Amino acid sequence: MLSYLIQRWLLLVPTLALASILIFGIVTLAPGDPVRMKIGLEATPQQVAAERSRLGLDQPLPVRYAVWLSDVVHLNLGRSLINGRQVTTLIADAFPNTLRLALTAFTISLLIGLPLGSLAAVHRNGWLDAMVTSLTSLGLAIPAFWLGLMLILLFAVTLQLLPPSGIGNPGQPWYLSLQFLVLPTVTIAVSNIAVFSRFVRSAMLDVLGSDFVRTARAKGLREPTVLGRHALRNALIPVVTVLGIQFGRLLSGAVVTEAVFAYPGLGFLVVTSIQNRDYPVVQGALMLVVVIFLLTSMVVDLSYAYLDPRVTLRTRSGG
Amino acid sequence: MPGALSGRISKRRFLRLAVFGAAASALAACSPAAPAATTTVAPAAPPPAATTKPAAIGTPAAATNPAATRQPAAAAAHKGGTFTYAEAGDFNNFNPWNFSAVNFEMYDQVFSRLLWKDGAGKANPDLAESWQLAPDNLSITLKLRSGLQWHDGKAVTAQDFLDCFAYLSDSALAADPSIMKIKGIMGPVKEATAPDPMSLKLGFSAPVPYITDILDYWFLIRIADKSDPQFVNKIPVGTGPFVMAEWTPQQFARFTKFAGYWNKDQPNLDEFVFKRLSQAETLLPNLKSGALDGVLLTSFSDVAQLQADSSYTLDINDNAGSIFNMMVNTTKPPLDKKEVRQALSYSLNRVDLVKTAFFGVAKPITSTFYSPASLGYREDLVMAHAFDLDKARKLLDGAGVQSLDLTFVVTPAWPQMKLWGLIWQQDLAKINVNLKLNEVENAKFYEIGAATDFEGNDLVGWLNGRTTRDPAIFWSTQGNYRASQLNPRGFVNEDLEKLVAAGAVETDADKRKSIYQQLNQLAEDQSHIIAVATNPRIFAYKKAVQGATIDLNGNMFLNSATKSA
Repeated sequence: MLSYLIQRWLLLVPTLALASILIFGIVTLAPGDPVRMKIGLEATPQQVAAERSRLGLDQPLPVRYAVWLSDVVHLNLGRSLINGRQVTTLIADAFPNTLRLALTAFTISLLIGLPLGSLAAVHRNGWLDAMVTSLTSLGLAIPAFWLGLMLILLFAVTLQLLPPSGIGNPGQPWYLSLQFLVLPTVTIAVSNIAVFSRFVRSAMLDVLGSDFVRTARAKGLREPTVLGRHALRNALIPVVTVLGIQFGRLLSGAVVTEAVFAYPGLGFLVVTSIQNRDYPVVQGALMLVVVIFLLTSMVVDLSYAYLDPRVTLRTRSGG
Repeated sequence: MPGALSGRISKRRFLRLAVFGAAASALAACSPAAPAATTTVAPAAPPPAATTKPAAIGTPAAATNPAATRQPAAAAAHKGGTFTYAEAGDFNNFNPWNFSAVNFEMYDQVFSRLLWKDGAGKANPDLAESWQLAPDNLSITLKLRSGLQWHDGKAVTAQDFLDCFAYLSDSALAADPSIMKIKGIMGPVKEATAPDPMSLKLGFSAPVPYITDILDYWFLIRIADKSDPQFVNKIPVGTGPFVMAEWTPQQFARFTKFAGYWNKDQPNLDEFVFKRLSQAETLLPNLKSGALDGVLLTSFSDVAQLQADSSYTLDINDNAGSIFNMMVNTTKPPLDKKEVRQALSYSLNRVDLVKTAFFGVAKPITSTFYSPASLGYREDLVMAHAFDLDKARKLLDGAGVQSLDLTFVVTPAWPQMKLWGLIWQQDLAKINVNLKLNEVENAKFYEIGAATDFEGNDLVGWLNGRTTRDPAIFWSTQGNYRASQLNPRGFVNEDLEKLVAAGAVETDADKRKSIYQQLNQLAEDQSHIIAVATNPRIFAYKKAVQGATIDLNGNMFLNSATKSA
């Protein structure tokens, strides 16, 4: 286990290095001038050149990459080209909001999606299965931005029950901030519930036809025990991969949902920074996203060993 | 099994760790939003004793009655309340010299000027109670009000303006965009002196008949930290009716009533909260949900439904001076021929475009100086290039152009451009001109607009501002209209340049008017930039909000705004 973990950690280094090159390259080579975005259309070419020089954007690309990478290694992500704030501060402000939203939406999706998928599988081809399949198809088909706007129109504009955007004021009690989570959480959860339940249903259908389930039933075990302890647990192995990917995606910021609800999370930060060609912020935030995905994938791998005792985690040299 | 997972964790331990981890995450996640990003300033100190008695400086030249300043307060103006307002985007700095569109609506609340121009173009006293132009027109002397204070309680004196003027030549600030911008506008002012602590004298090397327009841009600021002239690390200290109290990036900024404001009757509101939403589409639902009291509308399609709803007031400002137009690549034949450019102008059915692409909200114009408020205005020029396909075809024939392929660059940030392009395509096809739309993302759009040859494109949809300003301001700042660094396409018209130079120093009002009207006609005749429609600034307020106005930049002015319960 320890050697496996060490190997995985060591693998992070080349992966992150490769990611840094890709991120830096793609972000920097994207069309559009951050200086023009910052100082506007009335700035003269001299003013643009002066600002470009001040921001170090007049340096050759490899030099800029080397400087940026060196700073990143020292955990200095630089300053925003647009507002001059530390990138680490901007990310530190945004990430807790995303974490709060991701955990809430993920938990709700899990609590609803897993039983829903299981029920659909158990009642295969029945009315319940048909209903779950139809609803999940709808959940997958509805675009998040449309659903978000509809929820705002219904619950904020028409019924005036919930706030339409933001996260409230910094000093307010935590329970008051919960109301700001409801609509974005529902928006995210709808598609996630659909994804989870579909994967669970499919995995359960595979497992329910297995010999060990037939054996468990033949042994006279009660159906809930067969389903919960034998079928569902085995079905979870492929599902865990999806859960991991979805959770990583949520932690990277639910871009569309955060934008619709003006929810100041990581996705919102990345989108606005891309629009403004704010290179340091985009690069810093994307590096964080890569780290999140790598760590999530590591946790998913480790969880296989728990869920299926047949799975062992070997180092590459161990064969 | 060498290398296999040696210390496999037990299921019980895994579960324990998982439960602990989830609980810890949930606790962290449910804690209140971190206020770390919020910067605060201490409340303003109590007002100091009255400052030095002002010296007499001659007869006031313009509207000098302090009681008449800004908007007249309603007889029984409702006092107190919080006005919550929102726009799409986020603040990118707080220096009013930056003239950054996303920050416009905070400028007039936090900062003051010596004088300010209202939406009708009238100069009103602000920090200066009077001013006098010297008989030789080579200087202006302004008398400051007594008892003026900064938000931190320090007295405002003429020295503060001298410090402000010194920022323009401070090498430590030379590279800052805000300084560069104001330096361009303040260029004609060569020196600043203080005859006494409450008087300021600005000197010019040549007459500057539009000095009040220049001063309308010169907000009083104090740069305490020269490494932060944008005021993003520490909240700015101003002299306006509201003190900036806190800023949470990507969420909101809060402004509280300034107890030491020179006009003791204003502001009426206790607080102004400026929220930032990322998507313009969510502004209206937020307003209708009751979460906001006012918004800046960017979608003309929303205007009709709000006008039909008695719960809201719409303030449509056509006089803000911003217009939609098209820049023509004059370096690329046959667009180097005036007749071809004019043909394009005549082929635009602006009246129909405004009805469809602009939802009837804007005004069709073929003249840049469409407003009677402009010195260059001429009624006969406003629609001089009215839609006429026959004339357009004849102009093309005259220029020897049988057919033409054009690319027109548009951005999704201004969806009107694409719409007018699509409609225009149909009319152009009738005169054998094939128009291809090139829609690019906003950052790329700006890059193309500033490129020497528009990166090979023929037309770029664009916006220009300050058309209702004194034309000297317009011609000195809107460089894409003339031979300047902002017009790298090389368009040069010597007559235009001569008129611009003459207008900037002409002191005779009638002669100035004549010069700028000639410029208006010349610009329309050259059609190197083709005016299409006005771009009104539209504010939507709940009925409970009254008295919010605008300045000549079209920026919101809250001094006399009230909000009833």
